[in-house]
Amino acid sequence: ADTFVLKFGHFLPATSHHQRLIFEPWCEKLKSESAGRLSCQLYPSMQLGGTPAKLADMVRNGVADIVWTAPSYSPGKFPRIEAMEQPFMLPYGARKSNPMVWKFYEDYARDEFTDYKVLAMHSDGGMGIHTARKPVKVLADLKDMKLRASNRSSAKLIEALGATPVSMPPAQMTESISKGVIDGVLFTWNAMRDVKVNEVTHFHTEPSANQPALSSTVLTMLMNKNTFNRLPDDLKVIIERNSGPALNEFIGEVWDGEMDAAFKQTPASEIVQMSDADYQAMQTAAAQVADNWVKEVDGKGLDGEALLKGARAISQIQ
Amino acid sequence: MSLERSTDWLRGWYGRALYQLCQSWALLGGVVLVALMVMSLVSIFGRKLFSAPVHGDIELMEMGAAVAIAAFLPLCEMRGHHIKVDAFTAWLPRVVSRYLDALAHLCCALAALILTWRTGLQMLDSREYGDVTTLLSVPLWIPLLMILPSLVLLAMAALLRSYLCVTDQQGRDEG
Amino acid sequence: MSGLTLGLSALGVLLILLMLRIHVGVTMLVGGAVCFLVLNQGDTSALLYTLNNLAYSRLSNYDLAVIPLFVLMGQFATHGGLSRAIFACASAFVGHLRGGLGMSAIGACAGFGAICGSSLATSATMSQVALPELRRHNYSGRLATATVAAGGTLGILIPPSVPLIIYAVLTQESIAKLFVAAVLPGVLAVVGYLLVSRIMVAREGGAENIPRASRAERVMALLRVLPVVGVFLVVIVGIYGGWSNPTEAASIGAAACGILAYMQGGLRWQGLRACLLGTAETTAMIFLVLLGADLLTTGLALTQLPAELADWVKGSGLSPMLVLVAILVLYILLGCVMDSLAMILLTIPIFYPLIMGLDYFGMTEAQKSIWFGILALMVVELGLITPPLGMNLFIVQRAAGDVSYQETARGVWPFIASDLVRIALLVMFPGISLYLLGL
Ligand code: NA
Ligand code: NA
Repeated sequence: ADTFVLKFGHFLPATSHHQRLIFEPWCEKLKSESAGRLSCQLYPSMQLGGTPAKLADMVRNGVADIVWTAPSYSPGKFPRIEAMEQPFMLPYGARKSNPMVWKFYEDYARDEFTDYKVLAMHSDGGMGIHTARKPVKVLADLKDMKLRASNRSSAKLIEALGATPVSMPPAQMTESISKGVIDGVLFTWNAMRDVKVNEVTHFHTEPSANQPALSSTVLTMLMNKNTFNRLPDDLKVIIERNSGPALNEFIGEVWDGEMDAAFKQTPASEIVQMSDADYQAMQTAAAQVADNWVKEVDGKGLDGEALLKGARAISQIQ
Repeated sequence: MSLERSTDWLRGWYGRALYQLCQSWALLGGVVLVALMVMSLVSIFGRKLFSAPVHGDIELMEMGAAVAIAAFLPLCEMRGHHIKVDAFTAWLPRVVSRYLDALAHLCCALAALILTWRTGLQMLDSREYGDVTTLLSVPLWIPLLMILPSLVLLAMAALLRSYLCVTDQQGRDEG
Repeated sequence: MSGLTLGLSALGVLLILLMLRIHVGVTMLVGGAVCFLVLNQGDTSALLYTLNNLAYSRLSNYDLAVIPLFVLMGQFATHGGLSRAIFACASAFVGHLRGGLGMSAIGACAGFGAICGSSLATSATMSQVALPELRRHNYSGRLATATVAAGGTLGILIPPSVPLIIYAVLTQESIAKLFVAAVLPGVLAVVGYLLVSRIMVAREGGAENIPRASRAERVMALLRVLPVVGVFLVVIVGIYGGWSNPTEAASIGAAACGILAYMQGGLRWQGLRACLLGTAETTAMIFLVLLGADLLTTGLALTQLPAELADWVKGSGLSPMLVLVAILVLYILLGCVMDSLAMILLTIPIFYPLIMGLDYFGMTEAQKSIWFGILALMVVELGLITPPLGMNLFIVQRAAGDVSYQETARGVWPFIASDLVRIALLVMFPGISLYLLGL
């Protein structure tokens, strides 16, 4: 029988736990379930060329068969799904938030991804503030701080909270913190150890339990539609079985495991506990971010208000 | 190797016109580069002294650098100074190396045309999909559009170079 | 066809085109395209869509934007006569010694190298400044041109350095760390060249010294180069001390050199125009090759050649030191016939994973990555002065006018010998590059 090798591209290094604990085992699973007929060739670190912003294009055009990326790395392309990235939207933890992201995708954002076979749509488990020299305990602490933002929504959030957002490639982030070019990052616990951010930041702001995450990034695993359609039916079934909510769940397990491990490794003295009132103050300060987002997507002929309401209803936080 | 040269050896008016065009175009790119330098200075001093860097400084640098560097490419081709390996062909008779150079410039023209075509498509695609930059939301088709004339000019310069090699009037610039 | 054979065939096609004098950047585009087309059995869509984004994503890379800024900085330094002040200062201090002017030329190259990222620019400007002085004081054409050509390589050995920036971008290494790592090896290079220059003068005889400068003259000369020292410190300390990222530091350096050139060197509109055109040409040379290398690297990654080669070497049981020496020898041979920049771009994607996978003195990956970067810089630098194709030799010999290329090439051998000694030292003692980083 024919064998199929899927070109799988992403932007993280080959040593990242995402590759070792998520992509490689997932590919291994396809391989064993198909008795070797379906396998992947992984291309970490953008080895297929281009920039992370182009990963979605690359899989749409067939340069790659599968990519893992964030829709918001290509700003403007996937406006609907950005509703899930609005401040204080999703809870901490991928196991909790991944089903919400998937439901929002199914109910509201399918139209943006009609060019793709969507394999997974999940969250980064929520971002927190990690700083090097000064703890962030109350809103005022953020004044004049320079924080690295990973996407558009978090940049706007940082701005709304009175700090200065700085965008820079992940590779420069750790060095920039250790040298004081920036004061800290808005970053997920999950990938802290991969980029060694935990070694250069000494204060990690934590809200009390059951508070939503400051900000989240939606991540996705996309497959080229033609590649999928060309597969024989039995292989299609294998892909279907290992994608969607099932893959989301698998990612969530691994993801939260890594988050917990990073958290446990952090000395308790470095955790900065925030009171509910102080956290509320941040939420109030950031309210304009979502409002502005609504106006922006309205300008694109979408119903921003409905999207935001839908997102809030699904994440059941406010 | 950077001083300006006379264009007397270019016999046709179109050659001289194209040379001047490439040179002015590169100068424009140079002005963009100086502007980026100033922007970067404002940003770093703003950041250090007032905690206020230029908003979206990295994006501005990325877009500007692409536009400026693209504008530099045609002049270098026009002067015949793009890097090549001539250690193996030094012993060849002049007429042979002339035709090899004509081939080289033709390849360069072809590459430039293909890149123009594909970058143009990318520009249209970016417009359709509404690609924008992260912080400033500048539509990406704008810088893409701005590098297209440079690529066209590069192709034209390469074609002229190729023609000059065939007709044996490379002037003092080549090689 | 296995990935290894395909990758090697693509490299073969590329070498043939290179030998036919096709532009290096264009040959790399073709080599990359061949990989795509063969792997996809002639289906062009993956190649074409990769090309869609090639030009813009390469030209808009933030880290690479540092290159035109450093080139501009060097242009300002050249046209602003800063090289003259540096040479005057060096000769005020050592010019009266035996072989002193040769040593001054080396010192001036080092000083200029500290504010210029390119060796070609360093040897070109020093040919204007130091060469006439050396000839006037009876240095033979052979020794004078060889001294300036070798000294010119300090332009990249001493940071800032364009090849190091490119290595950093290719390997996701830190530009700041590489610059700092290059400082001690750069100093070692200066010492080696000074020794060679001193010995060669003693052997040839005939070279004259200049009168000893008075204390007042020395102070004046020193004062005139202080701003240059300031620029170097701002750039290097700025990058490494965390003041700024490399792109911003390059902007500061370029602006500072521009101001100095305006105040000290009388740079005006015509000069600015020449600086911009010079920057345009040098930048374009570099970026056409970078464009081609982008497609080639992707194509080679698709063939899995780098990974398979690394696995093969690992499994072959060859000693890591042998592998390293073989790579360095290959570099030195390639450097005789190829442009240095093209060489780095062509080979680093292949050799870097290989070196990272082998064990050297129990070093960590972070250490190996820096050390190999400096080694690569050294052999690239050597390529600039090894005949038959030695760019620095060409530039200096042309500027001299009355010295044949063969003469210059013969004069440079003692300097090449000192380079080889330094490379051997760095291979045996990686600490030379790692010490300042505390790695
Ligand atoms: Na330098
Ligand atoms: Na050479």
